[in-house]
Parts: sequence; C-alpha cells; structure tokens
Amino acid sequence: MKPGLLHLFTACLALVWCSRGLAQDRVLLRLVRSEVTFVSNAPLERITATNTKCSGLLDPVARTFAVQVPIAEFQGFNSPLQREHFNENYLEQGTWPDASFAGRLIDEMDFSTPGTRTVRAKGTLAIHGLAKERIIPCTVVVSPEGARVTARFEVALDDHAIRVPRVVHQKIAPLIQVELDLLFKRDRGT
Amino acid sequence: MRFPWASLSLVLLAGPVAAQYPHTEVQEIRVGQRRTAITHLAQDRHGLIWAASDHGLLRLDGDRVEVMTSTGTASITAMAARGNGMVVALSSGVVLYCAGPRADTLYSDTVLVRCPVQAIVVEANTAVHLGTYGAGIISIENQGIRVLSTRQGLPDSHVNDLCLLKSGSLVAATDQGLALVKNRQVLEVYDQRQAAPDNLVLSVAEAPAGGVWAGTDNGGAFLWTPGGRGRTDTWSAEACGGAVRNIAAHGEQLWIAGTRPGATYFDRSLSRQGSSPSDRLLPGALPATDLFCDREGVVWWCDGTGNIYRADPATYFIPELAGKDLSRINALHVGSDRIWFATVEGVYSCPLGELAGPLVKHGPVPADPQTPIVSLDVGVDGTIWAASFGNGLFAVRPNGRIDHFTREKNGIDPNVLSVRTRGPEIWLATLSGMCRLMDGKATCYAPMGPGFMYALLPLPDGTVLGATDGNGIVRSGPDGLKPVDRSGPRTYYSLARDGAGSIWAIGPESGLCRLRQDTLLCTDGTMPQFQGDLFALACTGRHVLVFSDGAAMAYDTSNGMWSDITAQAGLGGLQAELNAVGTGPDGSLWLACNKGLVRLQAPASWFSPNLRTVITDVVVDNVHLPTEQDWETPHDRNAVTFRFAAPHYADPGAVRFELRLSGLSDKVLRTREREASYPALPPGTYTFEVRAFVGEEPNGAEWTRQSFVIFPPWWRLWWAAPCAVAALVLLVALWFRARERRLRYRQKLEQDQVRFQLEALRSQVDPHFLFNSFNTLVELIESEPAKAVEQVEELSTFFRNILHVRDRPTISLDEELSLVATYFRLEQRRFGRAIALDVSVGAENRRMQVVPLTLQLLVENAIKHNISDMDRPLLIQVRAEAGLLVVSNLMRPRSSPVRSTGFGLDSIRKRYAALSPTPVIAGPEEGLFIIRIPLIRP
Repeated sequence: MKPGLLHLFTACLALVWCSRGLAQDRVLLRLVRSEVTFVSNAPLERITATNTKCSGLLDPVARTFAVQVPIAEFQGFNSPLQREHFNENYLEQGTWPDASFAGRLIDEMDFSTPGTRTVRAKGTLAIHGLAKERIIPCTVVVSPEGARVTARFEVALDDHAIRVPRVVHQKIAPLIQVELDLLFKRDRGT
Repeated sequence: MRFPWASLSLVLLAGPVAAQYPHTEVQEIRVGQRRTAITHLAQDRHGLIWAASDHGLLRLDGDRVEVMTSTGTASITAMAARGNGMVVALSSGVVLYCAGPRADTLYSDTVLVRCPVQAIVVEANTAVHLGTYGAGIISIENQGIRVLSTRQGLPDSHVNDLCLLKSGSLVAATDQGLALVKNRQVLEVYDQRQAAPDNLVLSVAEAPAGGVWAGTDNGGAFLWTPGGRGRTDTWSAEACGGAVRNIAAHGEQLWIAGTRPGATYFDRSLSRQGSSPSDRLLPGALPATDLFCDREGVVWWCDGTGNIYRADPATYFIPELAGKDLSRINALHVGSDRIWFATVEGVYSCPLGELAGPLVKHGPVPADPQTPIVSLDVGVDGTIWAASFGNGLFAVRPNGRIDHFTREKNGIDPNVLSVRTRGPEIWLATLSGMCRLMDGKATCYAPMGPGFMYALLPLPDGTVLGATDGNGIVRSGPDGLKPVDRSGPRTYYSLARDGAGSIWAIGPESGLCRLRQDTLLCTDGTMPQFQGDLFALACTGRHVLVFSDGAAMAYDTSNGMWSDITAQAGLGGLQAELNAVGTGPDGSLWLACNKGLVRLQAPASWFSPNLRTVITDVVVDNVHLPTEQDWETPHDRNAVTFRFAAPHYADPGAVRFELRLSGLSDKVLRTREREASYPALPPGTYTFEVRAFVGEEPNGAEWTRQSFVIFPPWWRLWWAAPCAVAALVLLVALWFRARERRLRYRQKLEQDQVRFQLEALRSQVDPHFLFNSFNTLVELIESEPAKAVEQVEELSTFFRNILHVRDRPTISLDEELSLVATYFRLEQRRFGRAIALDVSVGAENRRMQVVPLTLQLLVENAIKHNISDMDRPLLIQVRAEAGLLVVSNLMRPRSSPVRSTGFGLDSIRKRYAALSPTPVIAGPEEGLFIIRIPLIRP
C-alpha cells in the first residue's frame, strides 16, 4: 500500500472509528458533488483540467475530513496527448492512482448554524506518493443539509517530486493553482 | 571532505538588492560526492552540528561530514541534543538515541507513524518529551512512559513544537493555542480567548525573562509571558511574511522562518517594534525548514536542500537605507545617538537605534564625485563639519545655514583630508598641512617639508596630532608643527586613541605603532603582512583593529598578539574608504565599505576563539569505542585512530591542532588534520592529548585527554618469566631423573650380564660336569684311546666356543645350536641313549638371534633336573614356531632334587626382557616342562 493511500486509509479509519466511538447517531457529511480544478499558467501555455469524481467525508463535530481525488479522472487539458502525459508521465497514476488531502479544520466552527465562514484546514496533502503537511484556508458555507467548501491553493511541483522534462519547462508552471469546490451533504450512519 | 565556506555576502552582490542582513555563510554538505537534502539541524553539547538528511543523521564539524546513522527509507521528523548525542525521531515510529556509530532505540510505537513526532525536548535529567502531532506529549522518563493529552487539559493533542523553559516548565505549541506544562500538569493555556493573535501556534522558542516567543500561522509572532501576564510584544504576520513555522531567539535578536526564502532577522535593539524586519533574499533560497540559535547568538538554518546557513549578527550589513545606496559612503561620524555619513549625493544622518528609520538629509552640501566629502565631524553646537577634497570645508549649522570655507575667503587649502572638532576649535588636515579654524579665522601650519596629512587626532592636552605623508607624526604647538619622533618610517595613514588613552598610529611601512611620550613603539616585526592598502584604525575594548583591503586584523594591547578576524567578521573582499570608521556608544564599530554600512559588535570569541577539542571517534582495529571514557585493549589490537574536532565554524580552515601521545613520546605534533593514527603501539599506558588553536601559538588552549592501556601479552607479564624458569628447571630435573634411571637400569643389566656370564662360566666349569667328563675320559683312555682323544677335542671345542660367544650380547640360533650339539654329544658320552635331543628348526629361523648359552643352559637344566635311563630316555625337543624357540621335555623330576640356585632361568628372563617385548614363559604343561623363548630378529 502506498504511503499516500495509507494516510488516507488511516485517516478514514480514524474518522469512522471516532464517529462510532463517540456517538451512535453522529452525522457524517459525505461528498456528493466535487469540482477540483487545476491551472498551470506557464509563459507558453495555459492548461486547466477539472475532476468531478472525488470522494470524501467530513465529520462536523470532530471537524476532521478526508478527500480523495482519482488522478485519472481529470478532464480538460489542451489535447488528449497532454492528458496522457499528465496521467502517465508526470503524476504516474499507475503507481499512485489517487491524490488525497486528509486532516482537520483547525479553527472553531459550528456546523449547526447556517452561514459563511473562513477556516483553516490543516492536514497532509499527498500527491504523486509524497505527503506534505499543508495549512489551507478555505471558505465553508453551512446550510441545513450540509456544507459547501471552497478553497484555492498552490501546489509546487518540487514539493511532490513531479519531474517535468526541460523541453516543456516553458509550458508547465512550477506552481500549479488548484481550486476546490466540494459539496458535502448529511449522510446518516456509515 | 573539505568544503570551503562560500561567503554569502559575495553572492548577495550578484543577487537582487538586499535589505539589511547579518553576515551569512552558506555551506553545501555532501556525503561523499552525493548531494543531500537536510531538513533538521541541532547542536550538541560540544558544539558539533548534527543534521538530519536523506542520507541519515550527519555530524558536521565545519570540515568533515560523518554519517552517524542511516535511517533507511524512514525520514527524520525531529531531533534534539542529549548528552554527547542526539535523540532522533523517525517517521517509522522509532525514537533513537545516537551518540556514536551505534544507535539505541529509546522508544518505538506505531502510533508515531500516524502521529509523527514534531518536536523533542530533553531535560537536564535526560527525560525526553516528544511532541506528537495527534497523540499529545509523550514523556520518556525514568519512571516509564507517560502521555499528556487533551484529557489532562492539553488544548489539543496535535503538538507542533515544544520548548523547555529555564524554570523547568514545558511550553507546547498546539493547533489550539499554547500550553504551559509542569510536572504533567497543564498550568496555563493561552489561545484566542486570551487574546492570542491565532490559535494555530506552529513554533515556540524561549525568550529572556521567562517569556516565550510563539510563531503562529496567520497571526505573526508574539511574546507570551506565562503567569497571566499575557502577550507583550507582537510582530504582525505581514512583518513575518506569513506563517511562522520556526522561531529562534537570542537576547534581543529574533529569527523566524516561514514562507519567505531563508530566515528573517529582527534585532529588537536596532529596529524598534513595528519596523519592518530585515529579510534575506538569497538567490534560489527556500524557506528554512529548521533553525536554531547557538550559544554565541549565531543562527543556523537549513532549507531542505544540501545547504546549511550560518548567520552571525555580530556583523551587520546595511547596504541601503530608506532607498539610499550606502555602498559609496566616503565619510562617516558616529555620535552618541546618531550616525552621520556622506555619500556623493550629500550628507545624511539617522538615529543609531533605528536603522530602518527616518533618514535626514543635511543641507544642500555640494558634493560631486570630483570633490567628494572625505571627512565628517559634528561640533558640540550641532554644526556638521564636512571636509571635501578639492572644494574646501562646509559647515551645516543647526539652523540649516551652510558656511563654505575656501582658500579665497579663509586662506585654507581646499583639498581637505580630515576635519576634527574640539570645543570651538576646528582642525583640518589638508594637502599642505594642518589648519586651525577658530571663529571663522584659519591659522595654518605647514610641516617641515613637502607632503600632506591624512588624519588628525585632537588630544585632551590641547595639542593635535597629525599623520602625514613623508613627515611622520607631527604635533601642533603654539609655534607650529613639531615632529613627534624623527626616527622610523615617515608615512602614517591613521590615528586612534583607545579607551585607556594610548595613542595608536598605522602606516604602510611602520606597522602598528604606539605613541608613548613622543616615542613611537612600532610592532612592525610582529605585524602581519597586509595585502593591499590599509584604510582604517579603530579601538574596541583592549583591541586595536586594523582594516585593510579585504582583511581585518586585531592587536591585543594586553599581550601583543595579533589575530586575523577577517573570516569571523565576514570582511573578506572588503574595500573601504580611508578612515571611514567610527565607534558607537555601545562599543560597536561602524565601518563604511563597498558592502554598505557595517556594524561590528565584535565578541571576544573573534579575537581569541575559545576552542574546545572534542574526541569524536576512537577506532581500535576497526572497532569504534566510546569516546568519553578510558579504555583498554589487548596487545594484538593495537592499531589506534583518534578523530577529533574543534568546532570553529566561523573559520574552520584556520583551526590547527597540537597533539601528543604521552607514553609513546613527549613530542608535540602540530597538524591541520583532524585525525591521528598509531598503527602498531607497543604495550603500555598512554594518554592521548589534543588541543586546538587558531593563529601561531596555542596560548594556553585547553587540552582534551583520553587515557588508555594496551595490555602486554601474557608472556611479558611479571609472572611469566619465573614460571618459564620453573618449567625449565622441572624439565631438566625430569630429564636428569630419567637419564639416571636409564643409566641405573643399564648398569643393572650389565651387572646381570656379568653375573650370567659368571654363572655360565661357573656352570661350564661345573665340577660335576668336569668330573663326569673326566671319568668318562679315563675310561676311554684305557679302552678306546682314539675316542678319548676325540672326547678331549670336543671338550676343548666346547670350551673354546663358550669363550667365543660369551661376550657377545646375542648370537645366531645356528651358532647356539652347534654349541648345544657339542655339549649334548659330551653329555651323551655319559648318558648314552638315555637322553635324546630333537632339534627341528627351519633354516629361516636359524638366522634369528638368541642370548648366548641360553639353550645350553636349558638343556643342562633339563638333564640335571630329570631322571633319565635307557628304557625311558629323556627327550629334549627344540623347535622354532611363530618367532619363539620352544624347548620342551617330559617332566620326570629326580627323587632327590638337585640343589639349585634358581638363577639360570631367572637370568634368562631378565636378559630377554631387555631385548624383546615378548616375555620368556616357562612352566609345566600337561606333564611337559616347556620354555618359550622369543627369537630376536637379527
């Protein structure tokens, strides 16, 4: 099992275990709609791709969460060949099929009253098999049936040992902008 | 492995415009030829730097890189010094203690895989506290393992950093604020509810006076004093440049690392609260991943690459100030609270305590590159006196008025090199001599000959000294200038007066000179050679500092020793203006050079580095031994290697060692190597002594010693010689005894032989035998004289044969048989057919040997002891079988036994025992008397 997956697995396990251990009627929020977009704004080319096939859980009481992003499900790119390069050469999805972000919301917040809040999510971001601890500010819009989380952050290719050939240096930015739009909905029981 | 410290200051010149920065050096660490990625740094008790890298745990002494322990695929998540070694937490959940080439496991828990150790602190009693991210604080104490978590009141079990206060309390930085912990009790929690700027505290460091510096994610850094006193000092997130992931403090200095490249330095004495921090812009540098302050206030950091950085705030470069480039300052003056300096753009001043603060431009002083301002002084009334080379003297009055003194108006030479004020008097050094300016009127004195003046020094006694080009040092008096000392070199550049009132001068040929009662005492003999020009002289404490192109030397006035402080001060490659140096009220030096304004707060360690030598490794026959205790080794494991280090990171190349192995020789060796090998030491008691020094002489540096014993081999021990002698004596005694026994045995054998021969002789001349023979003979003489002659001949043959064989030890069986045959014939004449001899011995056995007369004796015995008559003749059978000669006859003992000595058979037995392993067996068997005699091989 890859370290990234292992982290996610243990995080999920911890989440499920916590929720069972503490309260039987604990409500978990499940990720129902997701939109993860990345933008590479390089001098010669701008690449964007979006993934809507993510899965995840959010525990509103413990404020823990885990989100998994299947690498192969990114759509967009400027050509099918580019997508293949992204999947096979850069992110090596055969070896590391998923990216994940698991951790907890550091700041106090109440999921029972609707409203918009800005909180920080601190956790391990695992991409390309390399986990990095990140603190990512995100906006949480709480509604009676769930929560919508949006965030915007940058991923440095170097941080996750994503090697880009020198030929395409001008076409791929060293810092990739990532935008998340995740809709979590109540899901009784697990 | 030697890696030169590249001066970062040079790098900075090529990089983008830098703000103020302390002197920083960068060193690339490689393991062999391979690059490393260093994520954590720590310093042990001896001052050695330990680095956590992807090659494992490294130990650095500035010169050598040692891989102490390899961590395999696991990475190091935290480390802290303990004793001689390091406590290291690995991502695999193992906590190691590594002090040498061996690492011991202190603690291991799979929970630490999910909740990695983020920080380690070690108490003086060696208790270790692990701050984990998710499992609270785990304490490894003598009593066992204890966990402090949210149940015990910790605000969060996610600990980001720990620090140990002098009071013994532990401060934990958690995801939900700070916590003060003592004796497993959470005494105080500080978070947003208590006005902390942010709950998410990422780093903590101990501050003076019981406070704690805390670095937060988006609330900057703040100073928290436990005990309900709250937050006293805050540096905003903007000032810190984002999240404060690491923090280190030393005195008034604060270092933070977060999202900006490198580390950010705050000097709270220089820039007051709220001023923008100085941040380091290093080309390609990454934000520091770990940083710490060592005991001297030097800060170390690493950034995840193979580089480690060392920043010494004692040298502080200010290349620009409020947008003004300070690399072209021509003159400066340091007052009690302000610093004035002149560039080609004009004269400026700013408060000393606030170097980022407001810069004041003083008047429009016309300063163009052709006629630069070369000297500045400020009078007691606040007038700024600016001397230009080529354009006379300017006075900027406190009210803003500018007076210009020129040759036309005041009669002074417009080429002024130095201006100094003393009370209302203004003294000028010009191309044509010295001038005194009083109330706008100038009085000029020319020196004895041609030549101009570089520097002035007003003295308390009312006179003024001038350093001239060609006329030596001159002193002003009521009647003009007088040379101070006519002997010696004639050119001096700079003059200075130290705190004790001594006057110092320096020139290109003179070396450093001290002026005492109008006599110059020069140190030219011991003066180090300067490359390039000298440009400034300054006094600080008991040291006189001489600055030249790219070098700085310090002269200790108390012991007359020179020390090179160029590397320590980071002044390599420096170019400065003549006499553009000043001393601040706190003793710090201000120097104008091509790198901008430089503040030097020279610590004592620059002048005489107190080097402590550490023996880092002892290898005996490829086995590493503990370095801190005496040891012993057998004589055949005597290849000893010592490795040692003396941390002197400011200038590791300058460290030299003196070493001695007392016990081998008292000779002291000097070396730059950090290793000493003794391939084959003879047995003995030794003490290895080593000390490090910088400069020419060790000057009382402390020795580091280690004693050891090489045991002698057992044969060289005190008891070995007596034992050997005793064994030899014993052997000789045994040999003598054996020899004696052998001799005695042989003697006895000989005696036996003699006795046997006597017996044989005796038996041969047995009167019975002779009587019988003669009786027979008498009978024959009468009846058959021819037979009688035959009888006599046979008798004589018999006796001749006996004489012939009796001295030989053995004779062949054939001979013996012929002897027996002769004897038997003699006996047969008497007994007739009453006796018979049957000899059946094959030809091959006839060559075998027997003791002479054996068979004769046996035959004689048989005839003597048995009854024989015609009817029942006595048959004596002699045959050879299986190597034995068997003599048998029917037992018919005589009714009146013949008196026998019993010697015959006994002597045969004894003689055969000496000659053959097979014994002689004799005895009656089934009515026969049988004797078996071994046949001896020829």
